[in-house]
Amino acid sequence: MDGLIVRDRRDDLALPLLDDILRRRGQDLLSLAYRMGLSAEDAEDAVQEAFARLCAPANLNVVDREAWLFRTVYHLAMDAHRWRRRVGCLRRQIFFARPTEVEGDEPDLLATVWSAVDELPERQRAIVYLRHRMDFTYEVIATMLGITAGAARSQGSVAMATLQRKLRDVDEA
Amino acid sequence: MKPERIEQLLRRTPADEPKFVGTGAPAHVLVRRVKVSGRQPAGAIGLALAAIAITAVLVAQPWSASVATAPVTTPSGAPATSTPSSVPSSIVEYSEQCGAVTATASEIAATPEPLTSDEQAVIAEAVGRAPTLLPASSWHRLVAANGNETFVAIGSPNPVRRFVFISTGPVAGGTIGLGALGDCMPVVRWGDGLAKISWTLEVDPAATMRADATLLKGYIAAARWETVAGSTVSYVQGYVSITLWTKGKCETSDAEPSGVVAGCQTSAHLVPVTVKLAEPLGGREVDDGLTGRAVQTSPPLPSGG
Repeated sequence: MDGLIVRDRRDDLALPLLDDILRRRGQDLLSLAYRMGLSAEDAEDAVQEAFARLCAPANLNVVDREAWLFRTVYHLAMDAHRWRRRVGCLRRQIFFARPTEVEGDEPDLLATVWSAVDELPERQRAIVYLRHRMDFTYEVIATMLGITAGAARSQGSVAMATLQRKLRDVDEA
Repeated sequence: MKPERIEQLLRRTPADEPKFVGTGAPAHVLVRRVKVSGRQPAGAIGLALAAIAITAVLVAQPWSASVATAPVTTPSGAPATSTPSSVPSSIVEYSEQCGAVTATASEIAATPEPLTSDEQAVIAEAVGRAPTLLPASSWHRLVAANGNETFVAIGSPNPVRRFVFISTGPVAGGTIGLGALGDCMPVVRWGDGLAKISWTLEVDPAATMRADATLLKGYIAAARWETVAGSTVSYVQGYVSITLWTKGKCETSDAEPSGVVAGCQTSAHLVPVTVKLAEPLGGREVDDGLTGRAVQTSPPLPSGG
């Protein structure tokens, strides 16, 4: 969906800082939304929506904008209707599973691992992504997801145990 | 598969993830403001320096941005006139958004607040991000509460912005600049020298991507701002910034109803969009929003309106 953000003048000077976040974290936010089950297109919309909301006057005083953006993208993805996410996942596998860029020399293995991640519950999926792909600490993840650090760590451990169980019999070439 | 191996693979990007392409810095930032000269029309005293602007930020790599804007007119159709040459005695006079500001311009200019080394470091970091917008020195602490601070300085080196602000706030491990806030310019109400202008969006015909101008318009109309409505744009405040995000789609005949097309890699492509207002530029100029440098100036309108 095309989008347009109308800002008031206070944001004019804030643009360089927002652009910096967009440049550094745009891909990470997009990947998070995608991993949460949104289609590629919906994931892009979610990222743009998050930035649009950040530009709203009410959010000018957000302290940690990066964490706020991750949290907003996460909630936007969670807000999507469950069946829509499922259809989106299915559709993604049908239409978007064509690798355009081989990642290293183990694309199949990588796809297998991330497919297992995609089967985790949403919150565990987000934690796995934020902890292992983004390398955020559990304290930061807790802030992003609106939970305690202990809960984030616990859910992360459960997720990794599940992944180990699912991938136990996967043979490496 | 061993846990360590799983963690190692989780650090890598699978090939199916979409690529984020909207990562370019703004290709161009245009600010249009009323160029004021000549006589002062009745009732517009104090408002004539209102910089009515559209900032169109097109994140348009690899395309170049193309933005055209047209003027805001006075009710009579005459150009706004008279530029105040001096900084007002108090920022409060300038804008409702500066209501919390009690320091006067002369205080800010003459007696910069002694800042701690930490504050200076944060400000230097913010200034370094936008050196064409923010002066390197003479920052005055305005507000400090809950670890958040706001600093103000005279808008130099960019005189278009008479006052500029930096807000800072705490994060884990230190304090960061949260954003540089805009200047205090007069709040211009509807009817205060402004008129509605019809506008259209045009897409470069050379661009193969679809851009739905209707949708863009709808997005504007849906904004809560009273500054925009329907197919016209009216300006209530001194500056209105518009960021255009246009995303292309694969266009093939076998598209699904959902718009997803087999075989197409969906990715965001940002195309140059021209914002065209219905009236000529007469008497105003288009400025680069970051530097304040005029990039387009039209001949002045005949005086005497």
